[in-house]
Amino acid sequence: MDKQKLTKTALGGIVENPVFVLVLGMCPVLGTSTLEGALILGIATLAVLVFSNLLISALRKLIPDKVRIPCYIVIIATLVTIVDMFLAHFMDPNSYTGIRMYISLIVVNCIVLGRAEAFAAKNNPLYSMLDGLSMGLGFTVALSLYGAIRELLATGKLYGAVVIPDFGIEFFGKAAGGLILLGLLMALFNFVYTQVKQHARSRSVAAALAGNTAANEQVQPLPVIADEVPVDVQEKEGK
Amino acid sequence: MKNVLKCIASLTVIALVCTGLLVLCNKFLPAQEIKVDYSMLLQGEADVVEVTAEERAALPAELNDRITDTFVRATSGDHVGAIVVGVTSTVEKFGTVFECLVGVESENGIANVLGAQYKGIVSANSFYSGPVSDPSNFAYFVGKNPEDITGMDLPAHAGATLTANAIVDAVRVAAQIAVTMGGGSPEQNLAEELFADKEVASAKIEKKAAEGSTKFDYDAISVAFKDDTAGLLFRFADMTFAVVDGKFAAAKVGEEITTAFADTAIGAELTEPSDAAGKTAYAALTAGGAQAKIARYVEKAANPNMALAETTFAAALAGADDEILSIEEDTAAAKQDVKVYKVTAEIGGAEKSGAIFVSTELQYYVFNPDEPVTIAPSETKTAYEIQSLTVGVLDSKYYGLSVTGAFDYYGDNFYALDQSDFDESLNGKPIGLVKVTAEADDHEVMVGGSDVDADHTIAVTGATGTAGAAAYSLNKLYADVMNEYFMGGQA
Repeated sequence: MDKQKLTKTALGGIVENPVFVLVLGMCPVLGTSTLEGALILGIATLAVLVFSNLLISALRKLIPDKVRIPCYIVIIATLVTIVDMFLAHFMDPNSYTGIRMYISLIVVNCIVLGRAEAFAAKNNPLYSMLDGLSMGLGFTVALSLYGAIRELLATGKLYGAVVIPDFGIEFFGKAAGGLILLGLLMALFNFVYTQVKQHARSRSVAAALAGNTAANEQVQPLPVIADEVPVDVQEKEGK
Repeated sequence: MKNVLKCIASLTVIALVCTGLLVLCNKFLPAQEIKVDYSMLLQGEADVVEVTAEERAALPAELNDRITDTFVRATSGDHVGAIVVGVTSTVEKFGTVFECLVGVESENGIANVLGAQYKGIVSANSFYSGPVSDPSNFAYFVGKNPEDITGMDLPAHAGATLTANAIVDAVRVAAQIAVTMGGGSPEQNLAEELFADKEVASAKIEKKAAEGSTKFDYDAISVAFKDDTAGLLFRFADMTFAVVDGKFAAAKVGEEITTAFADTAIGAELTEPSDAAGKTAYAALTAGGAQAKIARYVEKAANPNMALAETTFAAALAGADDEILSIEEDTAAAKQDVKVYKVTAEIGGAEKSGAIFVSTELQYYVFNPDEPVTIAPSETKTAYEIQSLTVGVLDSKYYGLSVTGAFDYYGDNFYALDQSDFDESLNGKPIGLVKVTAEADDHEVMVGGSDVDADHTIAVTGATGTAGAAAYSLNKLYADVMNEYFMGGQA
């Protein structure tokens, strides 16, 4: 197993975060205004991603290239419907009714089809599942962060519990407020990510430089003095 | 060609497998049913708010399909609300029958609609015969089908033309339903409203049987108060009765006593308890009622006038242990529309007799002291019509538990009268005309004629108790008349 590829795939949800980096699946993101909704929607998307990647990867050699997209859509739609049925069966009907519309929209979520086309169709089932898991977790975390902040700003609550009494900026509950908040979070994520990347790069450069120095010191190159060329060398050179 | 067939086969196989999977899931993962949670419904006043198309789109399809015309939301408090009016049909003569879905909304928005279905009717200008704010009016139609409604004897002023106002009224009613249903059962709400000065612990409808009789059953609201006392509220025919701590009071709304009793079967269901009558009854009760003889009363209701006489007399008695021994109609003393009943009761261990005068057609009258008593409608138009009136006389004292109410000029609003203590001897006082100026709901009213006797003039301003003041004055006057002309100054 390629360890480097495995690591790269597992970290895909952070490095290529679907919400903050790839900017995919914005429809359900903007529709989420509470932490509870974000968690449910995120986990539902995660489940669909994992299983769709697994199935598409497993069937990639059987599906003709020309009809791959319709096949992917059928598989994804089936998985979304199953998740929908699962939630309808186990969730409180009142809460479920509120998020049902967004669950259905997972079918056309760019992340799911995007990962199927970009990754699952080209990799084996194990890597594909890992990719789905990583991307799904990245989506869920980003969505939950967004939902929690939005709920807090709009209502002063978190997961339905009052955190800041008598507080609430109605603007953030509306679409415009949600869009602005999303933009701010994206900027913050990318700023932090860039800083971390730069920091890591400078550390690796420093490490590389330090490594070169250490190596040089270890070799202890002798000062090149023509007169002191070793005898055997001189003999080889015909001196 | 081979490739095309391969593509078709692949798609078909995948579609078939997926369909099979979904069929299996559908079998083993059925969706939960939406249940109505009445406890979440509105409390307090509701505001009617229009609902956006997006919110409507978020409704479950099975509810959305039933909304045919108007869709509104009534909100109250933070997160709860009532939903929806769907106009389903127009019934000629009566107005528009609507179906409303009462639901609950949460902070997630209107999507959390729960289904509860009611039917009602609106006329052109008002809902039924009363203000839309009176939920008891609505109760009349709850659960009725349009076909049933057309067969009912609705008041003539129920509108015949559907206007935009009808829709608005329907919306208000829908909101009111939610308000009415909020915070507990309808009977508990009613009890809390009527017994406003006592804290209601619980209230429920119970089937009661008349004491010593297996013939007469009736439904009553049995109320438990937080101070460990108990009360009973029930309706019989057009009358509402209240009993608290063994004290009894009655009030009447509507038609003349005799016809109301004659047409109504004993044990009438408590389907539309009138809060106006209930308040009157309770007001009479708190003003100093008497021993409750409910069972006895119900049993005697086959003879309505007799029963009324007993009720009036019983209410006039002060002691809790008093017992009515007999009631006899005194046909010799009766005059015109006034019936007289001789009542014998054991009061404080001694047997005493009194009389009850019952007028069944009393509206507003002019009494002229210079002429023999004549009871004739006043030519003066007043905003109120005082309903039936009874006066009891015992030991030369007059007790006016009149079964009395007042309707305004248009007959739209009933004003419960503030019953007062009539334990006052009026013997020897001159009979005068009474002029009462009262003001209620912007109606200035005048009852009586022009010769004003200072002793009987009561001028009241403000809305509260004005109708009661008018009744009080009339009652006094009536007692004087009775005393002077029927009893010769002696009870």
